[in-house]
Amino acid sequence: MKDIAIALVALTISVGLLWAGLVPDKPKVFAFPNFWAWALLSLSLGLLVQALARRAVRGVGARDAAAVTDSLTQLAPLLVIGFGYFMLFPVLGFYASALLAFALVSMFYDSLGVAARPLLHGAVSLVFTLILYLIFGVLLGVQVPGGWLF
Amino acid sequence: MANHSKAKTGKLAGLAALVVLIVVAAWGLRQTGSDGALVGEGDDYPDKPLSLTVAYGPGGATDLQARIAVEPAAEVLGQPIKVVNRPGAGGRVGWNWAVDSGGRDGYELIAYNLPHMIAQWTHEPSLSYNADNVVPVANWGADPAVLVVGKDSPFQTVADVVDYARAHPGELSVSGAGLYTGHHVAALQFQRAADVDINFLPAEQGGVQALQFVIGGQVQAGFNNLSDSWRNRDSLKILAVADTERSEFLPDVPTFQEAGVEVDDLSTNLRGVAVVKGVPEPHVERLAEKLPEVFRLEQVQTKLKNTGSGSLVLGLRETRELFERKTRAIKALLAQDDAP
Amino acid sequence: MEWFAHLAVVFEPLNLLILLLGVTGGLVLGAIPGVSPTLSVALLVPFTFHMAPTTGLILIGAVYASSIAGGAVSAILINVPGAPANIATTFDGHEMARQGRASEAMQYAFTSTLVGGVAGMLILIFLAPLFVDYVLRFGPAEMFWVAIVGITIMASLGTGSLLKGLFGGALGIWISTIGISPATGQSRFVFTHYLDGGIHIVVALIAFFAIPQVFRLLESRATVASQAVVSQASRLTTVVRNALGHRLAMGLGTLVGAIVGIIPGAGGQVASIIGYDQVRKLSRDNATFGHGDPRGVVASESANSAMVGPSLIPLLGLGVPGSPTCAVLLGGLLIHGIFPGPKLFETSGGVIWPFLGALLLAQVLIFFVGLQLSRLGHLVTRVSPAHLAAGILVLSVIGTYSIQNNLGDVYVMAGLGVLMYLGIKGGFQPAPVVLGVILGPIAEENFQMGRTLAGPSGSVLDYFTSGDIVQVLMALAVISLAYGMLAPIWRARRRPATSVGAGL
Repeated sequence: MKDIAIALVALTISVGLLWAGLVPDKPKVFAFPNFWAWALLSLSLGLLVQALARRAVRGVGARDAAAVTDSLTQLAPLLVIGFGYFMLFPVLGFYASALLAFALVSMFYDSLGVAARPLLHGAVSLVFTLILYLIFGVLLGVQVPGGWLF
Repeated sequence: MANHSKAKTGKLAGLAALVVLIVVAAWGLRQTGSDGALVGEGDDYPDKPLSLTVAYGPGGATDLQARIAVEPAAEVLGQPIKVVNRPGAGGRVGWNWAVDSGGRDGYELIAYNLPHMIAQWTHEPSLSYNADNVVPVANWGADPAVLVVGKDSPFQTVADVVDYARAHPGELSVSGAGLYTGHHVAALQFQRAADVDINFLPAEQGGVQALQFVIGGQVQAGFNNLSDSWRNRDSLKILAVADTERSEFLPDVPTFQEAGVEVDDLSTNLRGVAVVKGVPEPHVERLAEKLPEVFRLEQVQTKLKNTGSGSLVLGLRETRELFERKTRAIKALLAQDDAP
Repeated sequence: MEWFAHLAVVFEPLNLLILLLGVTGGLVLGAIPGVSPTLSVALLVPFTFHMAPTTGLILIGAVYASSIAGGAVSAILINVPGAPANIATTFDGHEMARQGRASEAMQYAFTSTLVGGVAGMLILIFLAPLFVDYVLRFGPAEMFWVAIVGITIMASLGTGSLLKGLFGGALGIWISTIGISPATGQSRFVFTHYLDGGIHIVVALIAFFAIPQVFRLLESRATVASQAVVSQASRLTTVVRNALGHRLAMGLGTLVGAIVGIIPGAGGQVASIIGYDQVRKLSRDNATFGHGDPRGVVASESANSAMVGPSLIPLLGLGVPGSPTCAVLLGGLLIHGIFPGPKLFETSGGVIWPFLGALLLAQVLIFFVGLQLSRLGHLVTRVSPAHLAAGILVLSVIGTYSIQNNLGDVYVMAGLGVLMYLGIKGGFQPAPVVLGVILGPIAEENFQMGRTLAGPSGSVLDYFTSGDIVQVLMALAVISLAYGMLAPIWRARRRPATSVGAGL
């Protein structure tokens, strides 16, 4: 089941990419990407054939579905923090948002439970951000976008 | 159980408090640091470091010269100028960025590269940057295009090249840094002036690769920077300079006009500093007054000379005239039927 | 023996100190994802403006060599190659770290750096003139075939399925076509301004390696090396002896790295992948490659270090920088009035010999400093997954930004990273995709240029099939492709036989 699903996703992607290259109707400009889009299409068809052939051998895994749900629950906080991080860093500034993101990720994923040791994580985040600033801001002189926080 | 959940709530509250604390502390820090920029419209400009966007990657001629040219800025301007590379798509990424999202407070400068920039916006009106929103401030360098051939090439003079191109229409392969660069402009001018048809190869990796193809014999000739060609003069023959007078670096090499082909200095790579329209006029004037002073410093001139690049320091008025003149000439050149 | 006196300048106390600082700094910078050797050197060059030429160049040389070796540290410890040159180090290096052998893997890496690096430098110092003409013969046709040879390797790269490897590679090539197209200058697939400049290789590298690693750490909530695995206290001398004992991996890695390193334009990025691939194909008992085989680390790291010296041949011998890093180095030389080219050693011998000496000595210092770092290696594998993941996430963002000072790159990186994580869940590997992103433009640009050049004179096919380098490369491509297709079949045929044997 899983292999077939993967092959179908690959097939959809290939068709999408090929479509994106054929729509502009500039064969000269798009010849190279379209060549590879055709290659992707044939490879995904190959994957599909392989998956169908194997299905006879292997059983359908209900475990796969459970694993997906499990991962999603595990990763939901990261996705939320990550999304917030990427939305906020141009506003908050790089170092402030890095501090927040680091602190939140380490608190949510503490092995002793959520926010089990806020002071520890706060301190680690501060030290980490400071090192980050010293390397990128001072040593390498990278000019990061400001935002309202430094 | 109740105890446990109480403890958990307490911890979450602590977490929230910590986050708030961090935000407030950071905000406070920011406030103390940023006031100046908002008030500093007047006399004390510049009162914080400036940045100069170079629209090419590190290591290229523009990047290197920009770093040399603005490095001692703090001595004259009172504040340093930091070079920031925003490369991509032949300069389009950096210049688009400057006009679309760059600041207009006078602290974000851009390095321009003529005639590349002008040829791009003339050919591609969809670009964000154009003659109306790029305000030239000061020029530091001029690097003419030269016609080069390999060391063992049968061509000895420009006339040899022209004769060959006449006898073999469309076959003479000539490399250059890319489409709509100075080299391409020189090639177009050459085609027109000598009335020949050549096979122009834009080297995808820029001028250095174009030069490598000439040295390696993959192409029969090339238009390239005088500076790079001069450095590699042991492996090349430099046939002509696309300028109105001979170069101090190459006193023995004739100009195209002397060689009988009407190619002028339109293709000369001019490099300097511009800002985006909207920067307060007093700031532009202050920059235009101080930057040429920086460029004229002896250390800058010596280092530029070391790299083999000619210097041409111009102030506000001359640079603006230069832009206008080039814009007109490029428009005329690209409007020709034989332009691609 | 005048050059020997110049070479000895490196050993003056001040220069030695600068060299040591440069090596240590370079190792640390190289280990940070996103801070590639090109970026390290580029950011360093302005520092050298005010130094004496010799001192400045010694610093640049030290950082150049050590930042490449530093990339192995993050490749091994967190499965994120510091630069494209370290991709192949992740295959076995990180597996070793997961088995609690992180320090050992790093010791293998730094021993290989020493051997490969010194060999590469000796080639540069003594044999450079022999190769200068060879470099010049690489035109569009040759470079096109270099890319094709690289593409054929994708089939056999990594441990995943053949079809998925090829799919990933083709997808990488497709991704590389986003942006301005060569020859025509028109944009392709640029549906947002963020994609104007296309997708930078290092952005792709971070996206495909670092972001999935963040997900993986938080999903499993396990440290890199399981707590149950006791770190084996590896004895340094034993590891060094073992590393030197892998003669095939070390020798072939060094040789391939040196040969590929000379090729302008492609060398540095793919030398280690090609070296790894060749070693795996020619090694006996190669089933353990990709599962923590030290030979994999040795092959990859000896190849990318051996590349350092020869990659300077086009730059020093011709004045033509063969890679982005060399372009930056050229700037560093020019600032001090040194013009690379055929007469370099006559005109600037007093400066250039200490520079070469610094590069040579740097390889030795990398070994010693690196071994000190190695002792700390296993500590990283014990860092709590939450902290490690948070650190990688934050570094990815700032690292990506610092490559081109482009906010759009950060969003592109995040998007590609999430997609790659899903892809890994589906059994796809990141390495072929990155290889595709590297090779795609080389193939297309050179094909387009070749077509322009062939245009008036004759057929395009003739242009792309004539010349002896071209024919050698074509043969290599065919052999590599055949091996990639046939090897799985051989393996499949052999396996039932052995399992029957075991059954008996």
